[in-house]
Amino acid sequence: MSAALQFAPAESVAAEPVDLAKPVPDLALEGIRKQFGDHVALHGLDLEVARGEFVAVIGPSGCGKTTLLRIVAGLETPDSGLIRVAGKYVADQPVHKRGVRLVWQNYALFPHLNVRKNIEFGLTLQKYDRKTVNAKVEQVAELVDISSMLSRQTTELSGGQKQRVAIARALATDPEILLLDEPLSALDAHLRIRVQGELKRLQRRLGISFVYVTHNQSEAFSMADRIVVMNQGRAEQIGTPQEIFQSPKTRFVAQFVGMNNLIDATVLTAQPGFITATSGCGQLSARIPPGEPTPQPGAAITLVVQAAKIRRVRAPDRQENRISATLRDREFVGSQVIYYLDAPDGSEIRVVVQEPFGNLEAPIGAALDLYWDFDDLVVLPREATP
Amino acid sequence: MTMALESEMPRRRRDPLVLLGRGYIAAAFVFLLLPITTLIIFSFQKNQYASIPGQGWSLRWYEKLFSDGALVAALQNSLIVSPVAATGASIIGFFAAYAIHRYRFPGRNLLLTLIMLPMLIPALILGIAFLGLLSRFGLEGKWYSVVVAHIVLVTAPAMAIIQLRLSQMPASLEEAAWNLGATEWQSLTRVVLPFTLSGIAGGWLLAFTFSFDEFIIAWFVCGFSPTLPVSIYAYIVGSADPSLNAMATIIFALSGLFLLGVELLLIPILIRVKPGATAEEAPH
Repeated sequence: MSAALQFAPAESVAAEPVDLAKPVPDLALEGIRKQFGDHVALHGLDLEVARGEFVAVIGPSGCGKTTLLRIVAGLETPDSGLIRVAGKYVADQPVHKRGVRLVWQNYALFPHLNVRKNIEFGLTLQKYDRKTVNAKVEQVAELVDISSMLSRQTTELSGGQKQRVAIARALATDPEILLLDEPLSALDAHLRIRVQGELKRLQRRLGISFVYVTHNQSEAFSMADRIVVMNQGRAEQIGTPQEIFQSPKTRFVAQFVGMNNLIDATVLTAQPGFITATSGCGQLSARIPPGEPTPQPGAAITLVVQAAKIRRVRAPDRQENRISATLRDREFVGSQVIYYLDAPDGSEIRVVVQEPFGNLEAPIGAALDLYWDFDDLVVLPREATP
Repeated sequence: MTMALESEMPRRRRDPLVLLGRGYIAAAFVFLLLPITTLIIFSFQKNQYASIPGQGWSLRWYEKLFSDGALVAALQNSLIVSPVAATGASIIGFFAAYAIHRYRFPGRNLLLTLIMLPMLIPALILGIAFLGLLSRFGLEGKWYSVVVAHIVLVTAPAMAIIQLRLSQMPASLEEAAWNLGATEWQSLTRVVLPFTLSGIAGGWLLAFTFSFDEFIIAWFVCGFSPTLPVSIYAYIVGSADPSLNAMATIIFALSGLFLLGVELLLIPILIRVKPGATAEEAPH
């Protein structure tokens, strides 16, 4: 008894000083590393998710995004690194004690239980009386609009309905954080877009943090407050959808997100905030945003320009960022057209035009003059290309 | 005209083959079922010896069977031994199958082999070995001697069925239970066990059938508590009368009932397309 009392103050001293000005993040990952055999799934990943934030993790297959979710849920143990959920370190807590809930890609509904029993599963493990359980089940069922299906078997549900049940089941126990692993990938395209909107509204209404893993960019961009772009076990860039889309920070992000043209170049002249460079496409100039370092003359850089920012010039009034390219192919994608052109140095330039048969329309093989504004160029240091 | 004839040619040529095939199937069924049918018919006949049916029906062999008592007592023994053995085998089989399904541990293959081994050893050798072992502990010659020996034997088929069912369970199901706050034990009893229940029931029935039929091992270890197959053997050695037919009819009815149960529970598992195939998470 006395021993226990003596330990109490020692513990509070050992606790880290709390900075009251800074809100405690819902989820904080520091240096998470995980290796499966020879394959390094995560190379020391850092991430903070603020309360009520919707964070999407995107990346190609095998980039470690699902491993990241499983580590937060406790289904995998990291080789090193710290995980805090609502300020508490949880790395050595077993799965069932963590306040995070996962929504599986395949929903993982219990086939022997009906919808109601599935939703109340987590609640019945705790000491709640029947009335509380029923009230909670009805509350979350209404939230995801499945109140009329509570007595159905899960096998009688459509994909979209199963998904709602999976979310309701996860929400029933009031999680701190909801983790979603490609929850919409099994739905057809129409339904997916509708559910995207519903999920986002649900998340705003509940005010709990969502960590949402997907390989679908448009899902991430339409829902997330912040996006983590992952590649080969590393977070390449973390930022708002706008930042990721407009100012990619690495070559990978520029290639993975949206549709960008990457042009390797060498800096010719540099003034604060403005550079000119030579490339296989001719001389190009770009503005350096304030706060970013201006590369020195002679430095190897990669220039990134969005396919949608390239225009065709007919009159020879524009001189900067002007190149001549040969139209090779065109492709209609819904309401827009993608033009594929060959630059003078043989590299491919892609141009997206929103209005079909717009001013880029020309016979295949025609030479077109293209230009873009120097504000639309993003300058990256050249990486050793793999 | 000629075209039509040509197109009919292959079918006409196949017709005798189809007939032949059907005849073959019918012959096979007659071959399989005729002995059982005659046995059932003879059990209801008046005559002591097998003769052409229709010379009078009676239930006297059933009366003799029940008044004599030896075979009925053996049937009672069997109806205790086999369910107990099947239950023991199902419990051991479930936990072994779960351990093998869930964990990768050293000796995993060894465990699997050890459980399957008794099915591969000739029953004669197993019977002698069990007699030697059980008598050393003073456990021979009792009904539970047969139970112990039969559990060792029939755990293999029970586990095989349970394993099959477990392999249909996506890993995410158990993970989901833990994620919702269930301990390992809670997820085992609330998710894994209900999911596997049909497999356990099927495994139990199969184990029961194996144990109920088993003669050689039981003959070695049962002593003065013979199970039914042992008792029938003793009866044949002494005398033979249609009481045996009556007993066989009863067993046939019972076995038929149980096999029907096995089929009803097993076939849905066996023909079911693995649900995990689409549900399994793609590696990311």
